[in-house]
This record gives sequence, structure tokens and C-alpha cells, in this order.
Amino acid sequence: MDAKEWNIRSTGLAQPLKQASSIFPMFKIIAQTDHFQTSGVYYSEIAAKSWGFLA
Amino acid sequence: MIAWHSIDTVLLDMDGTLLDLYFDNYFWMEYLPQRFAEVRNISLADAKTQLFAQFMSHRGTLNWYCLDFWSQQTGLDIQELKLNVKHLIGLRPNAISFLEKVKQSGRKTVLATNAHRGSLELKLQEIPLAVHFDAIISSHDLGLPKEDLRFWRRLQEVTHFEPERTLLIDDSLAVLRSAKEAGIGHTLAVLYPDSRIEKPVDTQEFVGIDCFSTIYPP
Repeated sequence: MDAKEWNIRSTGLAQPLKQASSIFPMFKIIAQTDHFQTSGVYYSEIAAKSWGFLA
Repeated sequence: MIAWHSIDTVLLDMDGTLLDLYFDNYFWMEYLPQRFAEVRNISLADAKTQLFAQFMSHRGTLNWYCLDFWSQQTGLDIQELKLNVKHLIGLRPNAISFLEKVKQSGRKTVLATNAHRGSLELKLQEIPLAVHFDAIISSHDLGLPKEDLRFWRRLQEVTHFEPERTLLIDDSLAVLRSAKEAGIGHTLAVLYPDSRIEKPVDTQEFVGIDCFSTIYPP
């Protein structure tokens, strides 16, 4: 996994942290919500930005 | 058949929906029992009896889909064994064309699978599906299987879809029921998830699709 820092901003719903994936052409974002923490959900760059996970 | 004007987001299952379920059926029902029988030095029939009993006791849970769990249960490296038969991984008819048309129509596409991360990565390496999605989620990352009503709320938190304006296509009736109960507005089942099984699935209260070409968005 080619972890890479990204400038992620919090959305209030989730607090995504960092990481990109070399396996998929997508961003891997760790999300911490009130209910759970993901170890990684993959987003396209457009989706990550439009959903507020990527500044 | 589909009220596309009422749909903004399309949630898609992977195994048995976009991908031919033959790979998974063959692996779990034939290949793994063969390897298990060899290692344990038991008959294939005994291997199937032992394994299938374990499969049934975990059906519908995250363990059912967890490669690490089954590696522990069987003493075999499931991920490694899957690599031996990865040539059997294949698409269902017109799956890529459908994804392209949904994307072209401006709708969001999300792959929501119960497949374990290892299985997901193997399949996305073999089949170039990822580029067609806005997001890809393994239920293991949300801590609940899709059969659990709470999964859909968690999915909504990380993919921001409006349930009533969302279409889910999935080959599991249990998953479709869970999604419908959670408020997903549009659902479709799959009539032929495994290309080697000619008899269509009884999709009961759900409309079943044969081929993606019958539901292309305008």
C-alpha cells in the first residue's frame, strides 16, 4: 500500500484522515463517525471532493 | 421498468451482480473442499460435509465473507488458494456498459460489497471495475454485513446518498430486504448470478434482471 498524505478536511459527519491507494485509482479514506471507524473506504477524487472528504 | 428520473445514486453489489458468481461458487463449493480433503486426508464427500456445515452456521454474518476467518477455520490460506483459480473471475453480461451509461447520465455509482478486502482487491486487480465508481465499500470496513439494517445508515454516512432516490442492484434477497426496510427506494434482483446455472433465481417480491442491457439509463 502506497500510503500518501492528503489534505483532508472534516465534514462534521465524518473525520476522514489520509491515505491513497496504489491498488485502485482511488483515494482510500479512513472515516471516524459517531458510530464507527472505517479502516478504509475508496473514493474517486471527484467524489471525495464533492462529499467533503478531500479539500 | 426503472423510474430513472427518480434515481440519483446507483448502489451495486459485486459478486453475482457485476461479476459472475461462478468463480465464488466454484471456489467455495468445489476447489476449497478438494484442497481441504487433501490436507486433512479425508474423502471429498467428508470434506464437503464438514465445510458446508460450517458455512451454513455463519451465513449472513461478516464471518461468512471473511477470508481471515475461513483461513483460521480450515487451516488453509484462502487468499492464496483464490489466486490459483483467479482466471475464473469474470463479468456478467454488459456490466461495464451499464456502469459507463450510468456514469454518463451523471448519477453517482457506489460499489457496496460484502466481499472481504482481500477478495475485493483480487477481483479489482483482475477486472477493471474501479474506474467506474465514485466509491467502493467493503462491508467489513463498516463493521456490519449488508444483511444488517444498520449497514445502510452507515453507508449513507460515508457516501451521502438519498435513500429514496437510490437504486440497489444485488443478487441477495436478504440484502435487498434489508435495504428496502432501510428506505432504499428502488431495488432489483439478479435472475442469473452464476452463468453456469441455467435455472433463474426465484426473486420473489423483487423484480429480477436478466442482462444489464435491459435497464440502461436514458
